[in-house]
Amino acid sequence: MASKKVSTPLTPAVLHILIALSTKERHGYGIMKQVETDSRGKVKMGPGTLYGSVGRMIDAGLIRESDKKIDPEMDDERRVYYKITAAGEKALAAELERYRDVVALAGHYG
Amino acid sequence: MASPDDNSIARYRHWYSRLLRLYPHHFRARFAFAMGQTFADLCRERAGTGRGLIGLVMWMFVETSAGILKETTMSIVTHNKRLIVILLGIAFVLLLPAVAMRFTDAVTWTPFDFLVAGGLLLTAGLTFEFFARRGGSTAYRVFVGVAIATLLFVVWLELAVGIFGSPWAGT
Repeated sequence: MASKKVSTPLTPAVLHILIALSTKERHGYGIMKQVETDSRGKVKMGPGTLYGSVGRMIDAGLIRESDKKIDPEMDDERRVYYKITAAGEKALAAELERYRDVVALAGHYG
Repeated sequence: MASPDDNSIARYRHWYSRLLRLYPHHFRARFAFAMGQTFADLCRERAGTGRGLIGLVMWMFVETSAGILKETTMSIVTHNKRLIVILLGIAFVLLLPAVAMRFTDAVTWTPFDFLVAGGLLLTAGLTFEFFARRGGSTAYRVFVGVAIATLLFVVWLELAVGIFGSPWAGT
């Protein structure tokens, strides 16, 4: 499938998912838990938001489906894992750089 | 043996799977199973804390319903871009005389005129969409578009000023 253009700035959901996947591949529930931890419980994503964003991110080439495998910390159901791509890492780096610029600018006025 | 919580989760997951059927087909085929798993994972986590499931389940049903609405709207827009452009174009064309009537007496359209014009434009637009959806080259679509536009122009002229003297001819 042809990659769709990534709209910038990234939506909060997309940014949080990219951050969650930047350290290791995760399944849907794992992404949700990591986002909750990263945001100290402030961002709580439901399945509708998560998989809607995941679908768009796969289409945009930011992440891809990895293997389907069993999570040893959970039950014996096989789960689809998602992995960040090089384009995803690039988009995340660019977004974090943008945030740094905004914070620096805010520091000027603060 | 399954615990009461496991039975509840299985029942809620079954209902949730039914809700997921409302997603557009392509989305459902990609994510419905994983969404069902995640739903069950979240329920098990909640059950493990000893808190009731119903609040979480209700929240996920509402949240997923919003997702269904969003994905369905996006699917309609993505797969019917040309049709939406046609409908917006028709609305724009009909807006021109409506606006003109506010500034000049030279344009006097009755509600019936708007109805007829809207019907004509819609018929022409949908006919073009019908042929365009059948595929074919760009040249074929241009040919169909020009043919329909010409026919529309002739019918419009006949209704407006009467070039053939038919019973529907205008003056």
